[in-house]
Amino acid sequence: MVVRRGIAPICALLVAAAIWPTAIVAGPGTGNGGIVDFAWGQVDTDLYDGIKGNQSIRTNPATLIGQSFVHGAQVIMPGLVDFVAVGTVKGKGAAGCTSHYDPHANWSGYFDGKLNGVYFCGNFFDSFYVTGDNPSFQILYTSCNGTNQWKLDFAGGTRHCTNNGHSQGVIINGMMENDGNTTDHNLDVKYTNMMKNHPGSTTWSNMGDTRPGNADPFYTYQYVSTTAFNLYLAPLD
Amino acid sequence: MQLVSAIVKHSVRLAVMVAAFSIAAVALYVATSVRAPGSVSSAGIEGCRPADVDSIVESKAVTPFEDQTSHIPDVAINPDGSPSMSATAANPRSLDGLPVAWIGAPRGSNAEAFYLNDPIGPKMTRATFYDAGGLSELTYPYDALSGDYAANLQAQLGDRVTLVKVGDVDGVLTWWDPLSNGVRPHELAWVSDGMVHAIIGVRAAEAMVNLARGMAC
Repeated sequence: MVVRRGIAPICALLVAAAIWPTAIVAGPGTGNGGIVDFAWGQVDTDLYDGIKGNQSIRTNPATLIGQSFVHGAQVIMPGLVDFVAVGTVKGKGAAGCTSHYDPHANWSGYFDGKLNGVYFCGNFFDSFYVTGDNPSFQILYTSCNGTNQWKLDFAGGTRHCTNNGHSQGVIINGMMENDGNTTDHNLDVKYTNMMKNHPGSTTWSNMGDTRPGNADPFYTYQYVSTTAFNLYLAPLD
Repeated sequence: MQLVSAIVKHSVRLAVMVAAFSIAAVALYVATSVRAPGSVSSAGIEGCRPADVDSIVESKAVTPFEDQTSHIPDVAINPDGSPSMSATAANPRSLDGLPVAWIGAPRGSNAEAFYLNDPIGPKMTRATFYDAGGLSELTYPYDALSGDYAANLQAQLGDRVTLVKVGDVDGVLTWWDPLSNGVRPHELAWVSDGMVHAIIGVRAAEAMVNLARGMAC
């Protein structure tokens, strides 16, 4: 049995190019499989084509077999199923990515996503980032390898480019997830320099207050400024 | 005098023939040009013929939900509980015999319609919608600067993509990895008139192809 838990704060960017019934609004009836703890926030209902910032990892939890801890940025596309993401992961890697269960392992870079409902995942900088590192990230729909694509940058370099025809969407900011395992919460990530971009604009704007719209009681969103916030998953002990 | 009369008679007959021909030509033009956006003439086109049962071979590869790292919030389709739409004179659409049950608020040129026999209540998520047999129809603008739609997806997803003809273009057929409730819809998407058209639902691959061809041809 695969058990996923813990997960981490995320600065999640969901760019959804299409239709949002009423945008992505937390409401009754939401379900996320076996994931018990889940938190995320929506910037607003505007459409964007980019998000960027820095994520500072402030805790380094022990990794337990079968679990993942993820810090990432995410872009969701039409139908609220397809997405792209980039960030850091530790513990159990997703399908196509590596796993690092060694408690002494560091955080690895990763990107993943879904295109037309099919999942993919890849790694970069295996076991590289440590507590206190503050890598930058950016997801932007722009030219990459000769065509317009979603370009996923991390730590100043392009890690992946992909597209399935979508060029803009809605931003979600602040995401954590946990499959219900009740040990070893205590995750803490500080996000700074958070900006968003309207489609085609050459001027980025401040992210604003993006507290999670659907937060488990264990999670805390701390608003710092229009470009900074903290996400925290409290320890259970 | 008889000569003049004959000329007049022939002229009238000729005028009637020309008029009749013109009307027929206009009628033919209208009959062959008033179709759904992006549709093509079905005569002799592979992408308009019915797909045979079990004729499509798909990859058996799958990534279980728990092996996907970044999950998407499985939010309600109609969280406000707005009254479901029904097929009316103003909204007569149906797909695979299902009436339109809900239409997402349009954003620019984007649109999404949900087809289901039952109302879509405030607790129904996409995962439960597809599990209940619903079909969704998604339309959004395609960025021509992003390259060839079908070729791009095939290059990125390999044998998880099956290319099928939809009208006169390549359609991208995929069998989704499981959603939170384990349900695995098929998606068939194609580009026509600068728009991506996609239909999504739990149906056999061949059934999805036939639905798409019914829309495009």
